[in-house]
Amino acid sequence: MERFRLADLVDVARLQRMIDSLYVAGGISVTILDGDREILVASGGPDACLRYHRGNPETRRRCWNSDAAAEKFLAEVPLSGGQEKRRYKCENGLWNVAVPLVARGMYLGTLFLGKFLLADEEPDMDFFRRQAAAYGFPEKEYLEAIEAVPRFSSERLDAMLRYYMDLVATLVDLSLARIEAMEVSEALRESEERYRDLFDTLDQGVIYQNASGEIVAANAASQRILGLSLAQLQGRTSMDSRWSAVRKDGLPFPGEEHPAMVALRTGRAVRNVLMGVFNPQEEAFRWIDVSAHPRTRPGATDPFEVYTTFMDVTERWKALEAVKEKTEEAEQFFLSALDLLCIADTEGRFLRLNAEWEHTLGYSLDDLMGRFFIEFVHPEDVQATLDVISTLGNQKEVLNFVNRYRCKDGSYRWIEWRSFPAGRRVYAAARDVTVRREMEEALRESRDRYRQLFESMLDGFALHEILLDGEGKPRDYRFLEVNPAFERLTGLRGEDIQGRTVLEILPKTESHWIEAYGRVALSGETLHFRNYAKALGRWFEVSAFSPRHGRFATIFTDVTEQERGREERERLIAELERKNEELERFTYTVSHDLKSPLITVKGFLGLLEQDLAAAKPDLVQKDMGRIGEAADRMALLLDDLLELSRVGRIVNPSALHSVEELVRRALEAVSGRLAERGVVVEVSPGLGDVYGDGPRLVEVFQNLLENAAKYTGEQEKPRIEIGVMRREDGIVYYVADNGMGIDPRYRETIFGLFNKLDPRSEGTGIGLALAQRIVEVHGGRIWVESEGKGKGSVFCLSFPPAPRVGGDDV
Amino acid sequence: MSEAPLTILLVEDNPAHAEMILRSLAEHEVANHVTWLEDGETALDYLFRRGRYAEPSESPVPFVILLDLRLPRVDGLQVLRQVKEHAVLRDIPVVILTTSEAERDMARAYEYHANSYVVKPLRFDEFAALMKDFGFYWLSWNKRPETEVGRGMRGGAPGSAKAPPRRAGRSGERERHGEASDSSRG
Repeated sequence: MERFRLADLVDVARLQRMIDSLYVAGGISVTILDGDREILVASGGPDACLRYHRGNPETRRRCWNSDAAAEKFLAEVPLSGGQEKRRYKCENGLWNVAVPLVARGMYLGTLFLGKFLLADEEPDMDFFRRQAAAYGFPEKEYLEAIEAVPRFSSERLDAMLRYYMDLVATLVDLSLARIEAMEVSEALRESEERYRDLFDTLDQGVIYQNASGEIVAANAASQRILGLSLAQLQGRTSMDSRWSAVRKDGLPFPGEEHPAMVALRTGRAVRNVLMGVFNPQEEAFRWIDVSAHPRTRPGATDPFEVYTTFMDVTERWKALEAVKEKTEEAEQFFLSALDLLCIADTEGRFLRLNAEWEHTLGYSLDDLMGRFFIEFVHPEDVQATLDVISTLGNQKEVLNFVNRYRCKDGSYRWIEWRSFPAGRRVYAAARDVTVRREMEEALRESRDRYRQLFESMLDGFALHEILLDGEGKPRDYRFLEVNPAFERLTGLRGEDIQGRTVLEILPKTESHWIEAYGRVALSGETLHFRNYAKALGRWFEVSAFSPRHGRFATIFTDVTEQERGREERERLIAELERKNEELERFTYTVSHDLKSPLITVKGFLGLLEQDLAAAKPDLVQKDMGRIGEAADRMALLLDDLLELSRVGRIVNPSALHSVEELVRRALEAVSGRLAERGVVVEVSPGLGDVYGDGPRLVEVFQNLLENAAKYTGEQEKPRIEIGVMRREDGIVYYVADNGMGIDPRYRETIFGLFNKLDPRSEGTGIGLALAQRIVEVHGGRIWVESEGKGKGSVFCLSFPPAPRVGGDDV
Repeated sequence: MSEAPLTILLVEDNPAHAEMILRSLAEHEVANHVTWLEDGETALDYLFRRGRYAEPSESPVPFVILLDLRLPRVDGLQVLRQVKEHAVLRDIPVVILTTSEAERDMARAYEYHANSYVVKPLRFDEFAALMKDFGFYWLSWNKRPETEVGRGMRGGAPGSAKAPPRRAGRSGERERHGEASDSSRG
């Protein structure tokens, strides 16, 4: 038990008043020290002490020494025993008596009674006189003060001591009683506080209801859980319709069946009832686990109140529900998943499988369950599968493992696995990837084939991406990929152009190409055309198509040979047509011109007959002349035709000839006629060379000279000039005269076979036709330029350049 | 004032053929006047009265034209075309007389509105008969409206031409390079 201080046990002020009163009444001074030797109360003392002993340092020290001795004395004096044994004389010659104050065996302090003189003992006045002398006290007054010190007999002392001791004991008893009461009340308070703290801070809701079911107290947790304030709760009963309580299954929970009401009714506790209560603050149900305990007063049978404790199990309930749901969901999932799901043990046995296995492998689940799955694995995959089982046995997951499983029909399916070990179980999700693998295989093969084709094809291939402007119109395109043939055909290198745009590479690309390819890339139309690449000198056949929106591919084939063949064919056809036409014209001309003399011959034979009959000798002569002329003409025509047909048919070897030499030979051949007409011929120097059939080329110049000599017209000083002009389109030889000239209308017809401008002129009219034919056979061209009649004529000749001589050329 | 001559315009480059035609026509007294020109250009000059034929008296409108196809300078088809494209001259009957039996020539001649296409016969008797028939047909039997061309000339009326002109003068005119030469003979 805690040590009490006397000051806490007695009313110190009252005690002081009591001893003061006693002092006044009986002259008895009392001092009470508490357990710590501190003066608790003290009444006044005799003047001897107060005025003299305490006033001198030496005597004051002797007072204190006495007090210290008293303490020592007190400690040694047994608590029981008479007052004689507790009496002592202080060093200044006065008596004290000290008694311990004890209550309930506990030392509380010391009561001093003193100073006094004993009534049955004569005071030693000499001692006091010496003392007065020693310490300078005025003797008379000092001795009077000694005389005034109360004198008590032993009996009186005993009585007084008993009184004081009883007094103190009574006071202490009272105090202790009070202290004890205080202690009880403190314990009660603490208990109450602990209970209150518990009540207030408890997570569980606690509600007290009285016998009629009204709520009288509700802790904070209950308010929180129920979403109601204390004010709202107080007075409410379980029967209150506002509770909206439900049972586990969601059905209403009637008030009379609430645990509290049951407990009140039965007097027995009700435990762990699950109840859903609507929390109006959260506007949601809270699930609580409720227990109700009735309280019954001793001796009574009916409970006077009930307290209900409840725990918020909403989260736990939800969690439980969720787990249950998840479990059901997982089960559902397992059963209905399209993936192949299985649970196996680490030994490699199927423990559980979903229905999809039946579909995939064709076995019933019963066939599979409990079997070692290695039995179904393709022999080639067995080792790898065993390795996987071992890995799983080491609690390591295995992802994307693929092996082959034998189906009931003996075929194999590719199965891809994701397996997760958990202890002795393996959870695996698998998938039939047979189709995917077959497709991948096919795709890979196709890709390889495509790549091989792409690399080895002779056609150029280029893939492009069209680039659009802000309005969605094609503005450019980018090369994505080109094949080796493309590089070979175009001379462009893939590494130089891939990723770049055509306008970067070929800035002059015309916009119509970009537009056309844009249509291909955006609308999916295809394009086919032939295009001549001037820079490469080659023809390409181009197909453009869109492999996917926004892109286009071009495939182009070098069709130069084909195109050249076509050109050659067209040239040959044109040549043939020209020849045919020429032949037709020739046949027509020939038939007409050969028929004419025949008609003449027959006609004049008829006339001759008549004239002979009529004996007209002059006419006969004339008729015969006509017949002869016609026959001669026929002969001439036949000769000329023969000559014409030889051109191009009978060919002398081609060689390079000096034009001057050719002209010289022609002049020689026609010198007679030129001389006859007095024609002056001038030949320019530096005529150069021409490649061809020498004798025929001489004939050309010869015919032109003859023609010029024939049509001198009225020119008195006929002149012929032979020279060369170097024009833009090549070298042009000319034979110019100052004769009668040619009307522009007849520039073409004069070269026609047997055409003559002047029907009276000599010859058949084959000369210019022959010249033209020879020139054409040489691949050259002949034409006439004349400013008109009487202005002279200029016959012009041009020949293709001579083939380069040397090397292997033949 | 003389009775307007019924002129036949002969365009023929072959002198021998021209002589045969002229003699045959004369033999049958078909025409009283034949103008012979040797090439197409001269024929157009005559018909369109150009150059030395500008004077109408020098170039009476022919009653009928005998036209060879193959002619120097301007061929017969060109002459035919220009005549038939002319608003007045197109009324003149044009008889093509040629050695050509080519389909193309015939087709083109008719395309250009030739009135007749005749191939020169090889046999002389046929040639002579042709000339006789030609004269009678075109100068007597064939009827035309009374236009200037229809009358064969401007100015004097050619008479009602009720009967073939029996007494046509046997004269021919031969023109060559602008020179006419008389080749008639009786």
